[in-house]
Amino acid sequence: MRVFWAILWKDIRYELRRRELVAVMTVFALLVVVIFAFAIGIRSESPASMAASVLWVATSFAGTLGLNRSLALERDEQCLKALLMSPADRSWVFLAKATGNLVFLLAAQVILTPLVIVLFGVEDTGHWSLLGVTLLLGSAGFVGVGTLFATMATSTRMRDWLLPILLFPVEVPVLIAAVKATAHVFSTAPPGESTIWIAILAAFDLIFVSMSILSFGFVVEE
Amino acid sequence: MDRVQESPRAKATPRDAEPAVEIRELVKHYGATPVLRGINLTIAAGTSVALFGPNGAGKSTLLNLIATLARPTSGTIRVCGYDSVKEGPRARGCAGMLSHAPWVYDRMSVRDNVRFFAKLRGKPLSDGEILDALADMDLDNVADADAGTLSRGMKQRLGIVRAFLGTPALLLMDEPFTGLDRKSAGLLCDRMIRFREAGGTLLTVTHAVSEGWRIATRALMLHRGRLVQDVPVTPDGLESFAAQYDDRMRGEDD
Repeated sequence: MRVFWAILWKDIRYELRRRELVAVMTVFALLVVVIFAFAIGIRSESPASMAASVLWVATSFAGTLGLNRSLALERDEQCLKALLMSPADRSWVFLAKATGNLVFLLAAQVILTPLVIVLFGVEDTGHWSLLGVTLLLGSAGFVGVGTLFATMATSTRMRDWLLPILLFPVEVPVLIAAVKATAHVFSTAPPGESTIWIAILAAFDLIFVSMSILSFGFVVEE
Repeated sequence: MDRVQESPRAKATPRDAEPAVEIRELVKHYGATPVLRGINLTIAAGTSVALFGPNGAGKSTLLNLIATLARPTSGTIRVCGYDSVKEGPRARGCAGMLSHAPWVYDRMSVRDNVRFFAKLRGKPLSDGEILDALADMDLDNVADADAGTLSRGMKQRLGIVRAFLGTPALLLMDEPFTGLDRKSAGLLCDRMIRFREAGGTLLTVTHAVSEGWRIATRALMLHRGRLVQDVPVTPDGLESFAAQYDDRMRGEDD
């Protein structure tokens, strides 16, 4: 656990000092939301579905930007090898980087989600705790695979455009489950319908994050 | 997950009476390209070995394999008695690495870099100990500066401080003198001598035969993935070794 906390705290401290990653992700996500709002109109027949879709499109675009930047930090200064030489199982290195990415993505969502709710006229259904769980699980699934793929892409020359091409097709199940769960939470439907999708999302997370943890050691070794 | 990190004493402790490095029938391919072809090598604890070879001979690959940064295609590597694949965390606990890149964060202060890497190696340092480690490389006066603002030589010295954190039993060095000014090279040599005196083992990859000869007790030459020379370092052996090395280099150029 020592390696996990050391890397996570290093990443958070670095971001607190520089305030780059979350700021760039948030601004980019906000722009995506505003562009969608203008393009498709803010009053739709199904605001819950529309808001959920836009929220997760913006999250995945901004998240990809953040993943690229987070691993670029290790790549530019060639520090990934130093992290990999820590005397611990490499799963801890992966989990620390992924958790850092999750914290930054959730920080961006804290600003993004209220804007989407207001812009698309989502009604107050009072299911805010379910919304929190959905955002957490959806983002965890996204950064779980995303951190692995960003690590793979970072050692290639095509890293800037390789990550989204690799990542988005694989993330489809997580994103569909996240959009469905969020749409149900935003709608006036009974909570039971959203919990089914939240359970599916949790199952995808379990599979994706476990596979990423198991694969990380092979991905980083030459 | 491996629980070795819960025990900092265990991870940095070489198994008694084990060689620092023991390699058997090591083969490494990148795709279909063979890079190392059946290396057998034993490095006794407390020795200093210089590894020479022309570009593309496989020197850095061999170092990365010992550091567990790469996985053998076949064969085994034991570091301080620990299998590099099956007991990776313990093997890494015994080894430190100094590359020609310093592996430090440009946008973190010098002090924070040392604090972070000491924690990562499982041996957190107090502020006083951090300053002592920095003073060793004449960097204590820039402790609060960002590493990115340092000159290349100073940054490389910070890389040296990083490599020795956690008191490794084996230090792997890949072209450690590249880009170092005279002062930095001198400080590194002093540090290497003290490391040796404390019982540490050095494996240094270098192109500079005379420099490598000065710091080593044993010289190896790698050529096209095979060890072709393994000689003790003696004062009068430099000339013939250098001549053979030049022959190999010429062979590569032709």
